[in-house]
Amino acid sequence: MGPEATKKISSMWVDRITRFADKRAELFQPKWTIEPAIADPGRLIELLQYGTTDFDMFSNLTKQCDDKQANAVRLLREQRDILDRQKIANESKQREILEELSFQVIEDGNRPHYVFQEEDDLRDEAPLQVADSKRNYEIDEGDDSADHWKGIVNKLDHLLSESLCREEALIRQINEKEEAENKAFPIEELEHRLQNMNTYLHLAIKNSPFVCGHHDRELRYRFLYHYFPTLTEEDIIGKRDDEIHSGPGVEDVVAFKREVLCRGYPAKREITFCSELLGQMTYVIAAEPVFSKDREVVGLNYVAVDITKQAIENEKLIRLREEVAVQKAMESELHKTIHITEETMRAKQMLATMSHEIRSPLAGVVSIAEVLATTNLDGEQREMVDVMLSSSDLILQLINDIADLSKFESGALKLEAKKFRPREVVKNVLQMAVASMQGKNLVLEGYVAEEVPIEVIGDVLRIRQILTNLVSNAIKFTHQGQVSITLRIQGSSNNMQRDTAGHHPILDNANRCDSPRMELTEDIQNSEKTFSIFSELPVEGPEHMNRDLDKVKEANICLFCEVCDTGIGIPENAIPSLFKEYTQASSTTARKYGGTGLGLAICKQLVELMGGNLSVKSKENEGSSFFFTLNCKSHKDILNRDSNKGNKMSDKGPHCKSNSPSKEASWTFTSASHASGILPSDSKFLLATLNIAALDNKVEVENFPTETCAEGQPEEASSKRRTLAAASSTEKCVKSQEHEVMSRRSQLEECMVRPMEDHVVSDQSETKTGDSRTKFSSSSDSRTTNSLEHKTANGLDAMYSQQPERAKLTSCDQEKVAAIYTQNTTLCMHTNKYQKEQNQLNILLAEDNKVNVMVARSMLQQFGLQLDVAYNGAEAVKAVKTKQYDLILMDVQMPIMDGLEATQTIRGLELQRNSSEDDVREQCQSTQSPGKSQGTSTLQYPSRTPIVAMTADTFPENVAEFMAHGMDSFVPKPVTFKKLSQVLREFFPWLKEVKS
Amino acid sequence: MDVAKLQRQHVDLTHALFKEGFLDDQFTQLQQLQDSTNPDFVAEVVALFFEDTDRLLSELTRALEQDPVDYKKVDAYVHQFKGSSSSIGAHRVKVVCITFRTCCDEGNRQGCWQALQQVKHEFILIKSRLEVLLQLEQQILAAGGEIPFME
Repeated sequence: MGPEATKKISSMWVDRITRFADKRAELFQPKWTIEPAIADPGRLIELLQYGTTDFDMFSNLTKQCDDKQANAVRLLREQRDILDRQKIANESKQREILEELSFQVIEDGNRPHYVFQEEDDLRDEAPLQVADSKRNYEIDEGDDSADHWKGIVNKLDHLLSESLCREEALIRQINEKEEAENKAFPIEELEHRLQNMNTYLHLAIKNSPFVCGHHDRELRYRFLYHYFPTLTEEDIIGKRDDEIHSGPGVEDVVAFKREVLCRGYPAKREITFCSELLGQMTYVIAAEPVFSKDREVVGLNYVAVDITKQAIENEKLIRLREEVAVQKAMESELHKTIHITEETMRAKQMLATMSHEIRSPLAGVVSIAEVLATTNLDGEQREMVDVMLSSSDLILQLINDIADLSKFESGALKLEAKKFRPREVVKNVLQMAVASMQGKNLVLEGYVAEEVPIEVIGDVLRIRQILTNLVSNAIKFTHQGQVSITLRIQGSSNNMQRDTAGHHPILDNANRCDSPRMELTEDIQNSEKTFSIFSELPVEGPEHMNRDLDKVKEANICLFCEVCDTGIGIPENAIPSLFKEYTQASSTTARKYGGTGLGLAICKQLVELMGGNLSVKSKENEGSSFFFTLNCKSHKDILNRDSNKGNKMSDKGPHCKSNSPSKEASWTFTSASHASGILPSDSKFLLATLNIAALDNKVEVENFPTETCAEGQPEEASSKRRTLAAASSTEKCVKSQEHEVMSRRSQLEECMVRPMEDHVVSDQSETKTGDSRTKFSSSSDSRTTNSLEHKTANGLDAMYSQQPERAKLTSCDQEKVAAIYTQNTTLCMHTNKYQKEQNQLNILLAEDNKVNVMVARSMLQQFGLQLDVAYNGAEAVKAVKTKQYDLILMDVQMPIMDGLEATQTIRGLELQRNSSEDDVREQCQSTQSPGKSQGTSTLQYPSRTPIVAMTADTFPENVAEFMAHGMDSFVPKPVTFKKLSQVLREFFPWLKEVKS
Repeated sequence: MDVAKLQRQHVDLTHALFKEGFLDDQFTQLQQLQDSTNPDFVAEVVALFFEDTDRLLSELTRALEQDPVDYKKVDAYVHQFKGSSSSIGAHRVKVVCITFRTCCDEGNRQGCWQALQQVKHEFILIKSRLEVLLQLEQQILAAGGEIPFME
């Protein structure tokens, strides 16, 4: 039923009552006119005459009426009987009294009491006579004469006659009543009862949503009770359903009724129909044929109940059930998927673990190969070793990539939020990239817009990873031209313009010449100059800078990073699948350029993890541009401090003003086939050189790298001198090492480090002592952030940014730095013991099991190594406090203090020691001459003693836990000689067995 | 006695010990560590193992007799025992130690007792065999022969 229909009905309701009341009043003049019923009275009489069942009610009523009358008659009769009995009793009493009276009169009056007692009893039976008896008694008391007694007799006579009169009247009354009752006409009573019943019936069915009706043989309405008051009698009586209203389903109603009529059996059916009269309705119709006395069908009664609502609800229920079923199916499907995903995850995790397992032995291979490279080799051998190294590097890279990917997919990768310097990241990435150019004649460019804060907060490792990946990709696919990194704040129109003006080397080739900067770049390319100057940017004073700083004081910034190349480009159809795992643009590409096809997938995942999006624009044979945005936080305090510093420096003098830290930075690296003058020129291999354009400091750049630029500025002599000390000491260091047998690799790495040193001279203002100090201490605090990888990286950050400390870095440390950057594996510490004799190594074994101690001792004896033994963690800590060890072998499960706790404690001790030593060093640095400081520093011990776990639990999560507690590697138990020597060589690759 | 015969006996015995699972490759590791500078290494380690184990077994017995049993303590002993047995390659002892630790983790006293008996039994077996083996080695050395080396 539509809402309109409902409305219609309810609005008609009041109307109906009054109207039909009138109608009925007209028809029957009845007392009760409550409900509408449209009827054909003629038909009723007809039915009463012909019908069978229809008499029942009428006869019932008649019978009831008779019964009641009979009952009333019976009651009256009973009453009459009682009166008769009373009459008889009275008469007998009267007789007795009379007899007694005569006896007393004759005999004596001595027993009046008796009489009166009798009278008393009588009185009980007929209280009407009490007054008389009392009177008699009084009289009796009074006198005893014959007159008196006569009087009494008369009175009694009188009473008797009165009583008889009453009796007669009673009898008359009874008779009258009987007569009257016999005379009463039953129709009135019947009518009255019928009315009652009608009232009840109406009351009962008043608001019930049902229709009942009677049809004749032609299914024409003869009677209809319904609660839809829209039809008048004329509309209904003598009509069929389909004549009253029409619509889909109405025919069904008629057909059903006809069927019942034909069959002669009652039936029920649920029918839904829709007519303009009633709207969409669903009824349960129960129809029953009406028979005549001759068992002939004369009509049809039916009752129809409106179940529209229920039907709708039922439908809803069914739909709901279906939905539930569907949902359940989906759920089970989902469960399956989850299960599969979990399985996959497990597989992925296993992969990650496996990669760790693979990495450890591979680390052994690599380190041995590296050691091999340091020995005297002929050309052929060297070539083979080089191949070995590059192959293993590739495998390591692959494994790292796989491990990264599986980390993403298992959701295990967590981002760090740490301060870092975007400029240094770009610089370092480029420096790294120079090493991998391998003879290509490319220009590497880095450009960081000035509005990029000096320090931002983010996961520097991951950002570096992305940039390194993209840049090395770019270099791989670029044979000539340039590769550039651009860093700016998203939404800065200034830079947008600059970008479109010419920073897309591929996309906007025609515009390139418009930009002065680009001209210069080309100039460099043409002339193959090693150093270049960028003068595109205006010199900016501190006020301008402060304004900029104000602008970016908000905590959130959006870094836009772009890596462009002029390489082979990517065909358009390959772009969609570019970021998929294990995919390269084409199989030909894969064959020609190698690679795993994981790099970009990892980049994309990393960028997305950081809330950005990695996109690519590319034109085949012209180049590609990968760009992404990163949401980083910039630190307000840092900004303020930096700006203050800038102001302070600018106060010092005119030169410093121009030297104030312009935040815009740009670097260009070129790889030239001929080495520059200041570098060892006997090398055949390519050397990378670096030029830092301080942009707003032309003078210094022009003078670069001569020391006059520094000496010409007495204002900041102290800080400069320190810088120069750093530079010269490094140079000395390099020169002294030239005499040593060095691998090609390590030389290359040095060259990589060298430019950084040079950079320190010219870009001195950017690396601030104070900052590096804080940075270093923050890296010291990283004890809580347990990853070894992060630690070393932080350490490196510190080294790069720490200018005074730079002087103390030994060549080995530099090599170490380079190794980390190229490999980023646990190999990082392997080179720090070249100077030390094998038998001088101090090794501590923390192990509670004597048998194990004995075995381990014997194994180490094979290398000629001696052991100190600590029988528990506490002893180990004590030993570390008193002696500097080169390696600690630490059993994990020990009494008193276990290996993990001991390791943590030792790491804590080291941090304390280092920070205090650093303070001392710094003081020495400021007073001592550079040469001296270098001399002392080469003897410094490493600040971090490698700790190797020894355990039988080599489950990956356990291993991860060891690493998290500050351990560097592990040996599975039972310790075999092979495994132990592998691990030892991770840290001391030159170790040789002294026994056969 | 004939050195060759002794050596063959040695080889046979070692083979048998490996085959029956009394020993594993870790024992070979020990043998490899033994050389002219350290001629009695295996014997020393084994002796240490015996000594250590005797101590551990008595400690274990005592610990398991306590009521309630300090399973943590028991576990520490068993861990030690497992470590040393795996270090010398006493494979079967090590295997029982693993069962022992499982019982210990479960706090299963009955299981612990059984494991202790079993481990004692295994220890006696390996001890007697190793003693024979070491004796053989002594004899070989005394006879001027070389101890045959198992690959």
